[in-house]
Amino acid sequence: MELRAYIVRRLLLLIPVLVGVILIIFALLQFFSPVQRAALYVRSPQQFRNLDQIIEKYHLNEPVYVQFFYWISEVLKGNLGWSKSVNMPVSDALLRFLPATLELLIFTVPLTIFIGIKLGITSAIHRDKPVDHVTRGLAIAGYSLPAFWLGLMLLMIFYGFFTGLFPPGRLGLDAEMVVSSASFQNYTYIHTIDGILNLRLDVVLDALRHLVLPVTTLTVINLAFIMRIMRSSMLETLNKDYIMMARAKGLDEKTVINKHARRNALIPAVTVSGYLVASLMAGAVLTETVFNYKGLGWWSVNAAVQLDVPAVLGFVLFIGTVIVITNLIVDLLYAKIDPRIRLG
Amino acid sequence: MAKKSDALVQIRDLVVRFYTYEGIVKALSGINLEIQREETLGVVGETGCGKSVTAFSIIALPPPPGRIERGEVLLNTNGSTIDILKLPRERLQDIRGHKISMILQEPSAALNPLFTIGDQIAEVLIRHRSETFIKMALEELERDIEAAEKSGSSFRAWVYRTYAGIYRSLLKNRRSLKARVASRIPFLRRYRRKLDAVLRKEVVGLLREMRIANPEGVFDLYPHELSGGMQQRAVIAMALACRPKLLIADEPTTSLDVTVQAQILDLIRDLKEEFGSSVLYITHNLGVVAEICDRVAVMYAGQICEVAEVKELFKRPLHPYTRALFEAIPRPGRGFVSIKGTVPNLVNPPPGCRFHPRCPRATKICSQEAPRMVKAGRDHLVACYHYR
Amino acid sequence: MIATLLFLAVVFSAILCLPVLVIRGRVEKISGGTGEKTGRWENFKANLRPQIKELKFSLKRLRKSPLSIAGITIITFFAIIAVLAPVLAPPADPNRPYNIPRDGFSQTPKPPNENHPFGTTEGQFDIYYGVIWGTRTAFTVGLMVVGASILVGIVLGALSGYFGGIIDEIIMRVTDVFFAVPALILAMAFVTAMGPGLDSVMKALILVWWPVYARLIRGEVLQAKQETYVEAARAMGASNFRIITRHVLPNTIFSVLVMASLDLGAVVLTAAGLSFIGLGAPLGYADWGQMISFSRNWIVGPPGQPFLYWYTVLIPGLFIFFFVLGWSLLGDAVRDILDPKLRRK
Repeated sequence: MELRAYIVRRLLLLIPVLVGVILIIFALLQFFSPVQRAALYVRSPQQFRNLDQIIEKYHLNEPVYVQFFYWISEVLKGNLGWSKSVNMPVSDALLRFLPATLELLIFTVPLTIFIGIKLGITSAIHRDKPVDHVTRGLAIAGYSLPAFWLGLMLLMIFYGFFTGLFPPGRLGLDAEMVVSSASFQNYTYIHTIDGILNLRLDVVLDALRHLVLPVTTLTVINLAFIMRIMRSSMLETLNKDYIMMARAKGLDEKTVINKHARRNALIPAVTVSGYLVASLMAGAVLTETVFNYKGLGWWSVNAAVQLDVPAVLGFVLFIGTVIVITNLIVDLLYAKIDPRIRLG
Repeated sequence: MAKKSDALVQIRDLVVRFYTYEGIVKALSGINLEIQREETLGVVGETGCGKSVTAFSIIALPPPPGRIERGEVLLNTNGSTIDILKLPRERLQDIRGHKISMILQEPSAALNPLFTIGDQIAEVLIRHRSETFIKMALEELERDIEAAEKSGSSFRAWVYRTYAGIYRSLLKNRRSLKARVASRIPFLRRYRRKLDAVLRKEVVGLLREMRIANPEGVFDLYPHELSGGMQQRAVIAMALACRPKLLIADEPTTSLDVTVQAQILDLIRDLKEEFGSSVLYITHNLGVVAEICDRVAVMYAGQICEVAEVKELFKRPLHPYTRALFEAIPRPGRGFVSIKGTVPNLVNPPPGCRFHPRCPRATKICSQEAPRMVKAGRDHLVACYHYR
Repeated sequence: MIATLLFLAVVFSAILCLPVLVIRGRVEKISGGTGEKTGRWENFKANLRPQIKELKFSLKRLRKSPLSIAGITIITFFAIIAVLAPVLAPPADPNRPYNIPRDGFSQTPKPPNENHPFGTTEGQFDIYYGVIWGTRTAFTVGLMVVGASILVGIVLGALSGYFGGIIDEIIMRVTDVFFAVPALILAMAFVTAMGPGLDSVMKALILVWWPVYARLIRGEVLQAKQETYVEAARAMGASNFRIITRHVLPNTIFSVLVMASLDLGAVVLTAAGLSFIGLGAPLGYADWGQMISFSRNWIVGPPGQPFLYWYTVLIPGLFIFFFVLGWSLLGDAVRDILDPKLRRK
């Protein structure tokens, strides 16, 4: 009962934040002329010819609060405008490009978390020994790499030097044909999953091949966050009395570390995961661009360069929502792991 | 040096140093101490005198950045004598929690907040007495198999037989492959339930012995859901679960309030009688010492000053430091008396007897060479040149 | 640009010296006599002594940590390049030193030769010139953004933390909103609205980054507020302003420094990202991100010579990498050193 109330309360708190995001976006909008802003209300190319009508209809020439009212009602109806850079409504574009980014994240998130945790724990156990210094150095180096540069370098080596080994894009030509053919059922538009569901191993392998470099890029860059926090929280945990007690009970070191220390050390790491998702989204923007991987990030950059305002703003709104919900999930997870936390 | 005795534990010439940023702290400089069987030995001293370090070093767990430089900790049980400090890791772990266990000052810190009380106590049982409990679980399982076969449910019988097989493999090898695989498979994982039930009964019994009301309920509680006194009882349960020969208690009642303190002291005293264990009781409170200890050792700045039977020590304290301690006990009618000077910095401890800068009887030799322990009466040892 | 750096240096020192000035001013006004004045000043120095001792301790550990030495070395290296830019790469037009000279308009990059030590990138922009003056750009962007964010953050964070109540609520909700969107993405949106250009990038980044410092300072202020010395100061009749500036803020300096050091790298990375996308510096401006974007078409050479145009991507990238690495190493090392839990082991 308490849990449900808590979730409801948090979701309600979500609204002010989203309103804030919307306000910021709306404030940004005022930088544009009414003509440009009209693009936000347009659903199809034909409507562009009737810009004057649109400006009339949504009172784009009127004071700010009037506009805001109309704009909000449109947003709530699901109309986020027309994305000229990809020639479709923004809401459609969001749905269209989401699976690609999801696919990217499905592989990156677990990899980053597992490797980060393992490295953090190892680093803490062997504190100040060479392993520790090397690991930390590599993690910092990874974090200092520009995502786009790492991507380019990886392409240079694994696509240029090892010709065609790990290519950019999402799918090769052959697999592309298979996926868009009638016999292939696109359940999720996530190619690895769909490939398995359609029992087409070649599609799966091809998709994976294209995923290797982008996933590597994103993982390398974000390892440092998890690793650093895992290390410091592990160090703190190892100093606790109950660890000494566990040893005094005669438990072997492995159990002490894996059963007693790790779970406690994970708690701060969980709270960081929310931030990790945010960082991954930002990284995805650059990574998708470099690898020509047509996901949400690619779309947003493409739009930004072409000054496709509705697209960029729709993207920001979407990301904002995702992150707030992610934070809620992280908080719930946190409460589940730590029995001391009682929600509310 | 090699004095044969039938003491339970003999600490010989123990030297422990802490390697810190500010320098090397010479925490213990050659401690010699004996703990007899079935006695309660108190160790008193000011904060920082090294009593806790001594305690932890007995089970070879010097708190980092401490390191045991040299010395022996001899354990005489089962007719044989072993040096704990020279044991390989696995054997050390066998002894900890089993032959020698420990309770700490802050019970809330000694318990892992993420696991239930029952879980943490059961952990000790399964670590050291797994055979007993697995056998018990097996026995019950056999009965269940019979019952299942009699009532005709052959599927259930088959399931129980599989479980029994896993238990048998565990008996042979604690890290049996069968058990590990089974733990990962959702359905087979249930094999543990029998064992858990057996353990639960034992733990609940243990908690009841600790005079905890509602032990069944407490089993499932988390540490933060218990009061300080209950937490400490749980910790004591953990420590005594395997009937250790020696219980090291590091100021277990310091953080509890006085009424609870009395209860815990009573508990420790009674359990010690019942189990026949020795207790090494570390405290800075002479009152507690008077109440429950048989003998007491007085420590100062990493050295042992005096060891005697409690009544004897209270009647005639010989070492100047001990005398000063007794003088300093507040009494109505007189003002506060404190010991002149301050506790020395152990990075550069005073040469010779470490108390000499504050000692009213100090002479030249005191600053040159540390006095050895001499016998000053029946069962009364003193390390001082001028104790008369 | 030098003027900007000087300005920032003055601002930083002002923040650090503010307590001193406030004390001196107050003392002058209140006591009026020589005797009390000396007393207060002595008191202040005495109060500072443990802080100075801690500072010395920190500096000592800083010197001993190899990672921080590496970081400092790297940063110094870049600082020297930035300062000596006009000497190392004399600009063709002194009024527009950030325009990279073009040697023709051919799209194909040319390898390093005696005219162009690092070669030329697509469009015949001199790579050597670009990375040298790009160092200045990096420092400018980094210092300005971090500096301004700190200023705004300190003011809002201190107000929020110290006064609490509705002010706190409002400011915290606002920072919540900013935190809901990752830095790069929000900055992208801002720049799209404001029109591309390095100015927009800097303004956008400042808008995106100030919440970090507001939160940080607020947290520290909240902690400090509970300390007894604040209560004592208040009991002695000190005004809010004095309490904030003299007692609370100086204790927050350390964590601000750690954050700033790490952020400098992050800001430059984000700015480079924005330039890479095309939203940052105008064409031909000396900016590392932009230079890497020029290399996009040339990362794979003709068959048989895959690394033919390595210099277009490797060199500017290395500059970014090492710049950010230097600041990250320094920030990380300083944080480890200042973390009280890990300090004295």
